[in-house]
Amino acid sequence: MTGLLSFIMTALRLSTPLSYAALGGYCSERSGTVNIALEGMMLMGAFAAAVVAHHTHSATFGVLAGVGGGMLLASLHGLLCIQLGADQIISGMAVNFLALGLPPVISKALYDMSGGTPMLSAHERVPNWFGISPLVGGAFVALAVLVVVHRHSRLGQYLRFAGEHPEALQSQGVSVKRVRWIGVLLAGLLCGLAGAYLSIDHGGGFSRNMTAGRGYMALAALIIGCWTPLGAMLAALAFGAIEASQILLQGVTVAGGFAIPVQWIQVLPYIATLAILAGAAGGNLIKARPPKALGIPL
Amino acid sequence: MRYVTTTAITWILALTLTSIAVWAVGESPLHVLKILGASAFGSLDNFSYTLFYATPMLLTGTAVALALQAGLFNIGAEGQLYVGAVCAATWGAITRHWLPNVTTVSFTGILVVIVGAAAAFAGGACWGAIAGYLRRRNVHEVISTIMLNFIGMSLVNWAVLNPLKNPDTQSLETVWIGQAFRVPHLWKQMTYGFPIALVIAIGVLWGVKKTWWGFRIRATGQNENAARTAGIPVARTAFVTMALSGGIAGLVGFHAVFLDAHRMIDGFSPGFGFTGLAVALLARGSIPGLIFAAMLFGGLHKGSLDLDLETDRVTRDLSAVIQALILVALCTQPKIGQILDKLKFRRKEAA
Amino acid sequence: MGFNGQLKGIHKAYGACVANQSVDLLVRSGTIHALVGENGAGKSTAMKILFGAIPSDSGVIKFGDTEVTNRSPRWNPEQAFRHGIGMVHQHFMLAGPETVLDNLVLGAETTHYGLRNRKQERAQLEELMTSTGLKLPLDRAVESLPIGLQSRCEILKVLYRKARFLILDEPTAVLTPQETEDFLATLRVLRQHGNTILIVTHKLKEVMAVADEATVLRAGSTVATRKIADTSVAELAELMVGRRLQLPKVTAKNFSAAKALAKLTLGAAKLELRAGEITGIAGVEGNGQEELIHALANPSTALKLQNFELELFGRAARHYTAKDVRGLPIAIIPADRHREGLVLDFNSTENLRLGREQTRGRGLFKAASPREMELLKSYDVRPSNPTAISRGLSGGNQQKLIVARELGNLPNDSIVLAVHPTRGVDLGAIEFIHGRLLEAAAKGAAVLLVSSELDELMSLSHRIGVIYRGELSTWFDGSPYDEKAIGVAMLSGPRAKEVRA
Repeated sequence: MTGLLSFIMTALRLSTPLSYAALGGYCSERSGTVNIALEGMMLMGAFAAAVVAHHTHSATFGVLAGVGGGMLLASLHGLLCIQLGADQIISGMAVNFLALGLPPVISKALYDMSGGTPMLSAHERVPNWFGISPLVGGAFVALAVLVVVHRHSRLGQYLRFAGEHPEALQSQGVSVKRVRWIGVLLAGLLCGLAGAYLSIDHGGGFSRNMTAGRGYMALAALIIGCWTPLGAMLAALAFGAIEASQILLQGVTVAGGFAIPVQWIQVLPYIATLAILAGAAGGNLIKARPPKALGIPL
Repeated sequence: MRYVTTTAITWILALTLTSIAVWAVGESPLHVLKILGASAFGSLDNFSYTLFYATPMLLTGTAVALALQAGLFNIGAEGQLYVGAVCAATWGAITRHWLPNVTTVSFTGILVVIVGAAAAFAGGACWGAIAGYLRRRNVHEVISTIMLNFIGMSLVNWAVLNPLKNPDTQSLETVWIGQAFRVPHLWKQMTYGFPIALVIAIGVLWGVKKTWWGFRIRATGQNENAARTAGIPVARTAFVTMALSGGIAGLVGFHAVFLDAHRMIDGFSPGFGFTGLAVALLARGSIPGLIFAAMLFGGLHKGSLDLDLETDRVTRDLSAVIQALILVALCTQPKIGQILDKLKFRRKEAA
Repeated sequence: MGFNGQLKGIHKAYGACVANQSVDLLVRSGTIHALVGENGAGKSTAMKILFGAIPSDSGVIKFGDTEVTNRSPRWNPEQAFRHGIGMVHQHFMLAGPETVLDNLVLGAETTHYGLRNRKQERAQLEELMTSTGLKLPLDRAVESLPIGLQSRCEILKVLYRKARFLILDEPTAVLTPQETEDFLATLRVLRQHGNTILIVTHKLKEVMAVADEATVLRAGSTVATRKIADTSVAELAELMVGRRLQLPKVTAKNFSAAKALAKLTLGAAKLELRAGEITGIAGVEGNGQEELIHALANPSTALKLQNFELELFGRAARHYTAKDVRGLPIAIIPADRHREGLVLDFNSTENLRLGREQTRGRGLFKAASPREMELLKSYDVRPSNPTAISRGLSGGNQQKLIVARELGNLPNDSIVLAVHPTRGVDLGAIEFIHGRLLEAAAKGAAVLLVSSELDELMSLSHRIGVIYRGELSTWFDGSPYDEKAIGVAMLSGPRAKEVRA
């Protein structure tokens, strides 16, 4: 029983950054901006959070800084994609490169260490209650908010139309640019939270490339989740569970002393995504249709 | 003319942004540029390093550029080169066991090396072909290649830890290939890979522009429906292009295993596949552009390695920042083009 | 209540291209006014200027007594909204997967602290639907509705935003004849309610049926305004083109003995294309024309969707791929020249070679051959410069380029599949393309002509088959055709025979 409970807790913890980023991806992609920059925004958020938490000795400021870091790169993505009409994939790659290169350069200048920030002491990290972090709960709050926004608010209506038929929205006198900006910035905000969770909650400091592809995995979750908040979150939780089972299966041998290599389990989410998407094209598995205007500059 | 102007503006913009970034961390941009320049092109030794790093970038750049011509965004070169390397390393391990008696350069030895190249090509091509197949099933190649990159990376990691592990060392690497198959460097640090990559780059891009299959690739890339209606087998063209692109990227693995390290080292690619994307985008389909961009990024990579030693505050990671800023500058190109058109029109009107 | 809308001396140029030379237009309050002209006559530019979507270079825009031209910020769609002016675009401004309700209230949602009050929105819409008689299922996704209802969505959308002056851009372009009837009836109802309507179209029959007045544009300028009661289709057409048109006539011949080059049995549709004969296919769009073409042009993939029998030049061809088909002497003029006909960023020479690249081997990228230059000239592609990028050509010249590629190198005994070959091109190009199709048939080609223009079908075809719900069972042989009977068959299928008898 305790084994099951601890598995669930681990899964929740591991899925939290994915959930935030996937929900962020929802905001951005649903409004028509492709966002492979989730990874970079998350990484930048993690770095900013760790730096500020270290200097202010406050986890709160750390989280806020994480949000700021995510939104900073989101603004760059928005500037390139929305204002300048750039190819959104190239822009996303640029953001990801920047997030990969900037933290080590800055940390060298700040701490004379290449790639990481100093370890944070306990009071600089987000406090956990009974082993549960407020940021873990926060992901569910974010989900609840976005579900309501998606279906029952004016903003949600605008986001959906901006991604599906921007001309329709524009023809009604609503600025599509503004709506897309909101979507991209929200993505930055949520990815910033995801990053802050990684560096000052789950972890005790920033380390080089600490997101390790979680942003891309969140993108996969978003796609399997059919570009809806609930679907994306469920997929993120499933990916978290797969990751947790990796720890569970460590050292377990099957069929005559054969240990399942850790790498095989690591790739499960990716293989699952590809399999589901390939199956979905047949039309039966899921209705994974991207927003029609996704990736098309105004 | 327009190509030259927009490219020049892009470069100036990238340079300016980089200077600002360097200045912001408290170093003199000029100083950093001098170190970069000297370290990349300052001496023949250094230049041979630059060519060494430019080799994989030229290959991945060609791979991405080829796919772009067919309207495919291959951001999976990274995964494809991993798989190519695993195949080459496996072949290397096999031949080491099979042919322990071959010790000097011989016909068999050369054959083994060529098959190694073919294996790497085939591995990368398979990885590209998966993305090509999934595209037929309406999975966008950007998504599938991202996933395949991670799968490829895990595959390498698994290979160096398990079946191909080098028992003689603690570091993450595979067993060395047989003594007789270790191709020496061609000139100082430069490997045989550079001339090979050069030939491939020129051949591929020339073919795209001048031959019937290149015509098919371009037609498919620009208007799939029209190409299909006109009788061009677009599905096959896209699939083959993706496989070819993956194969070319896979040759990077051959380069690493047979021509350079003579074993596969975990993390041997510091993101060559992604740099290839930047190379291809900068080149915009031009052959000299591709070679120039690859040498530039090669030099950048070599130069930035010395930044650690020669400056107090800038690390080699600056090269990632510079790459990012070059991409940012590239992103401004559509807008620059628009502005140029407007200016041109005004000038015409004034005249 | 209502108000006039007026354009005076409007001039608008895009770069070197003058779209509007001098446009004058007066739409009287409470009437339906038609703005007619050929493609490229400047209709849509004038309409966009009226609505504020683009600024004019000079001239005056007036609504009622208010001049809106020199305002700051300049006259734009948002101001037009507030003025009570609504626009229905030719391409529907509707998001397919969203509900009718969400589409209708877009931009004018009723909200409470940012949250939607769908109940109130629904009540208002119900009221609007009852008062106008335009009913719609509010909870269905728009994409699940037939096109006719989607166009109704567009109308309701502008009415919901309290528009009293409606601008409609080619509203019937995608409607079936029956849907068009309903639509025109809707317009009459709206006029009764005191709305003012400007309808931009080139379908003169509809203008005669519904409008009160018509303004004719030609080459960017207003040439005339006529009261509908005082004019005729013939006069309007002449004003549009500026000259009298000669339409080719086919004399009825008995071709049934001629050799069938293609035989297709697709469900309830049986089709034979015979040498020297133009076979016309009439039908409301979406009744199986696409499937027919698909089966002929790309049998192997069509076979995955539906079983059929196909013989081309006397051989079973069911399993042929698109490429196999193109290996035979078959010309295809596809329905959508931008989507399927041309690679727009290729130049004329490259587009002439599309699909034939392999046979040319290394010669591919040499400059245009004398034969290719001659083709461009003889098919009247302007400019005839072989390196002109196709994107820059006008619609008519793009279509002529396709016709040159497809018909230019065709042997005599071949098959020609022409799908909407003259859709959206100017009258000069229509005349030219018709001539080429007739010429091909005269040389012994078996031509299949699919078109939504009944006039085109009747003037060219040796026989016309009417396709209805995938069934191709009503045939009409030879000129003169009974237009009414064809129309009935299009709407109600094979039962038409009994009606005729």
